[in-house]
Amino acid sequence: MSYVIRKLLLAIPIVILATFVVFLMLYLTPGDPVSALSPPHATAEQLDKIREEWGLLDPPWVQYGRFLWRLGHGDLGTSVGFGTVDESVSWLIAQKLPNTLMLMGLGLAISYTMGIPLGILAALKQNKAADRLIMVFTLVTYAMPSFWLGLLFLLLFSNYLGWLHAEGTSGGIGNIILPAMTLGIGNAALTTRMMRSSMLEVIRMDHITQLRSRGIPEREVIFKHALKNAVLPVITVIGLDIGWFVGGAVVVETVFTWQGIGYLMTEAINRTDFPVVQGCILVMALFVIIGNLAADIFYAYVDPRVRLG
Amino acid sequence: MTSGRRPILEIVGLRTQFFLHEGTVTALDGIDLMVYEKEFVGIVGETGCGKSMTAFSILRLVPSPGKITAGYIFFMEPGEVRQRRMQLETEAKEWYKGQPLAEKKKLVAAHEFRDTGSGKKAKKMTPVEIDKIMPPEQAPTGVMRSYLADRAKTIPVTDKVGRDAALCSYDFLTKTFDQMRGVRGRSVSMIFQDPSTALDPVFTVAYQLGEVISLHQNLYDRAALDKKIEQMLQLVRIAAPKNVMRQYPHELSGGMKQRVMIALAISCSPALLIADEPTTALDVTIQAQILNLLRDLVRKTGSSMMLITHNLGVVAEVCDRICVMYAGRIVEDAETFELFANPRHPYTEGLLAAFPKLGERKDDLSVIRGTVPNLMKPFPGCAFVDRCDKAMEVCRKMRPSRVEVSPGHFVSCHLWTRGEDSDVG
Amino acid sequence: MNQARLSPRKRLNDTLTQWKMIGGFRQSVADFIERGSRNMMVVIGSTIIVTLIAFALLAPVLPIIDPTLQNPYEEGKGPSENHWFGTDTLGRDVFSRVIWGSRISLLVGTVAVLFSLLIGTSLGLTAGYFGGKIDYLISGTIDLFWTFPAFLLALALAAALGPSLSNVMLAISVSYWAGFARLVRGQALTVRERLFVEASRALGARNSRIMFTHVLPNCLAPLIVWASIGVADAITIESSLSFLGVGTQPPAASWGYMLYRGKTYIGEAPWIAAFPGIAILVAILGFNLLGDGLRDVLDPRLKGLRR
Repeated sequence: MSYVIRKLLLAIPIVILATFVVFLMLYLTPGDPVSALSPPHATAEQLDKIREEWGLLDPPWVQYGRFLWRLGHGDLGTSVGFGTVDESVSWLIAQKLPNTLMLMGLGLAISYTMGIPLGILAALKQNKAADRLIMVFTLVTYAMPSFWLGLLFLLLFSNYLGWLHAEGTSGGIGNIILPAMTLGIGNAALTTRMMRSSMLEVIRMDHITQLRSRGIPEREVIFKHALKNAVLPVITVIGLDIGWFVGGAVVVETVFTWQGIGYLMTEAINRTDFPVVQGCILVMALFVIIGNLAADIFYAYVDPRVRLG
Repeated sequence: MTSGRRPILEIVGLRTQFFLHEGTVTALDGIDLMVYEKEFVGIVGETGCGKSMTAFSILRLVPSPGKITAGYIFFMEPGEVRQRRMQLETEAKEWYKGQPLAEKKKLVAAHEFRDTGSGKKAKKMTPVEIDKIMPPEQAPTGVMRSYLADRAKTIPVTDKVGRDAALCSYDFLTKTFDQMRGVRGRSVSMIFQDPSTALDPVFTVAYQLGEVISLHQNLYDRAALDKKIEQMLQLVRIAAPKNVMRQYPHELSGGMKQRVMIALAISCSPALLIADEPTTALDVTIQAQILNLLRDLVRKTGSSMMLITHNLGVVAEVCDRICVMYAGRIVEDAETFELFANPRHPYTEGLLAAFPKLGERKDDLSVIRGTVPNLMKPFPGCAFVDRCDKAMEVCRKMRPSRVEVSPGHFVSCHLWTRGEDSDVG
Repeated sequence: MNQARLSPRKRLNDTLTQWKMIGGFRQSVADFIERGSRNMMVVIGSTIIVTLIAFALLAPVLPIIDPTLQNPYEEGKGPSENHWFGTDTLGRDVFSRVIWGSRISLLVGTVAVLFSLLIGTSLGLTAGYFGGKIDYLISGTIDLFWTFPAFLLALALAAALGPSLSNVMLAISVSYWAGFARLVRGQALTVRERLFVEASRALGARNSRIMFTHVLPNCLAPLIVWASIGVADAITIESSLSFLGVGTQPPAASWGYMLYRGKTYIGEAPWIAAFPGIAILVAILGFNLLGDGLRDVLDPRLKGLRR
């Protein structure tokens, strides 16, 4: 219990730090911050107007305070240069977020349903054909950046085989499957390796031999005892995995033009729509932090040594 | 004296080797060991002498890349079967003696150094060049085994005793994996050295005990199981068993963990309990308690115990008989009192001398000079030769055989093999 | 025996044997070279890397078409005899662009990792050496950066700073240093512990010297492994960033940038993106293989023993 509370308390300053860093981003941009917030080719008057609107003339801590205040009210600013209509960034994000969540969720599921069994298999058949094959597979998939794998899938399935339409989000499994697989397979490599090495370590432990010496059937020794022990380290990295997925989502969504916040961000970057970029990054950072927290709590629940210890 | 009792465990010529990239390590080099009913046998030796490996070999839990490459492990063999087997073996030895040298070489090459039993086809472990080997004087176990197997074909099916004898049905090494699994925990069980690493950290005590009990006693009713578990915990003198049941291993102290392990081991009243350094990881105050517990429990259930340790004090207290191991071989075994009173092997003498005694004032503890030999290099003679003050020429060349120097007292040392029973030089 | 007659391989073997007999540092190097050359992954990985580096360094002198030469008559043509990898939408030869692109990608990868290494090692050493509050602060920061995905951070930085070669390198360095810092800090802490045991013998002010001379050699092995994988990661991040448009910009055309331009034509002219893509893959694979192989060589406990 105390473990959970400690982690929650730790998360708060991190969140604040994230908002601060995101706030600072405006000042990292080359040139006058106002140019990031204004459409290209703005006149001097427009620039002044924008300066006032955004309160850029106030001292930094006031600006930060205002930033936080607006955040608390869910206001992330308005987009600039999004066609002719100035849309609220929060609205944009709220629209696209569910899509990203769907994608990530499916991707996570694929990654773990592939990774864990493969890892176990590789560990049980260490150094034999199956293991070597799996290791080669992980090596190759791990080496492929997400966009590469995505493009490959795109080419293969959409262009040449015409099986699945890959553009856009128009409902149905057909569209989500490719990007989800890209994300999932890319991360499965990591999961497999971790599972494999964890399993290998556990199998050599004393308590496994002890179990055998009690006459417990091998099947139970491996799949009940060894597995439960081996999965724990893999769960600890769920947090890191989530981080990877968020980053990967940006790329994959862009490749498949999947309407999630990743794609939103890429588009915004390309048309220099700063508030949107800022908002997206903040949301993603929050997501990573919360995801890590949830993963830590989950792990504490699962490992009795942490839960009671 | 043990002569009146039945032997429970008879190990003959057991050899366990590890096949590594760098070479082959012979962890056990042909050991002979007997454990009788209701007997406490102690196995002592330095670290790395093969004590634990003996335990693992008996249960056939030798970790890869290790394999048992020769020997027999007879368990609970009925007297008549044993008699018949002895007859057949004498036959085999005679036959082997009579073979010409070339034949002997071929036989050894064909039957030795193979992975024994396990149901699969025995695999050749080391390619042995026929011309280079020197076949031993007496028939090696692998050759005998194949002779017996051939003989089995001539024994009629109705002669059950005969068939059992020839096919070595009571030999662990002929059993399949499933058969061994049935043995483990039920007829032979083992307690490990470090209780902290030997219990599964993610399951409760009750779960682990329940697992073993329900498996071996076919008891699946939750309530009955819980009751039995409580009983077991009480038996190992754990206070508040109801609480301990629900706890996880990491919540218990070292002594309690060890008690849980003991409970796990005796839950099905095995005929043989092997305790591998049960007190080494505990502090001194708890050691005595655990030892007493073990002794009482084993006596109560009428089982035998094999206690493995490097601590002479422990075996002196608990054991009826002691085997001294060195470099994978048993160098001396005798009844406890006899061993302490009349140690014959120089290694045993060294061990006893090194033990500080109460009331004795010494400036230096006596040590046995030198270090344990490298088990990867095969040595034709006695393993102790480099550290022995009484070493002779022959010690370097020939391996000493096991001789009985007085009733029930066996030594493997050239000092005694020539029938002389007074110290030489 | 005439020294000149010995083949280079024999001479190498002899040197190695000599070094092994001398013992000490040279022995470990000789051991390392021997074991390394037996490990498949190390061999393949280093071959790939050496080839890439060769291409990168030799690009200016190789007899290939000028990568910036736009040829309006050959726009968007597929692979042919003149243009092994085809041409892009401006008629430039893809093959030579790929070769020249290796300079950028490798440069970014190695420089970014080097900086990361520097930042990470210094912070790790500081944390380990000083301990106490400073350690608390630094390791807190390390944890923060460690759990946060490097790619996202680099993306944010690159987006803010604007796309350019140097910004990309900076962004990656800032995001990736945590791994190195952890390693070095861990090692520093162990050495420190040991030092305090000996401190009662009054080693005095030489502590810091000893720290550095003891800590770094021990970290060397895992640092090399990490660095190798780090270059692979850096190339991944750079190409991903460029792919999204926030990475390198012309004239520093990295492989990622080529993919960025080429992705819209993936259907009609796949070769524009495919070949740089394959190049990226090979580079990442090479560094990963080297890193993994080195890890196996330097920490053989992880392999199973078998005959």
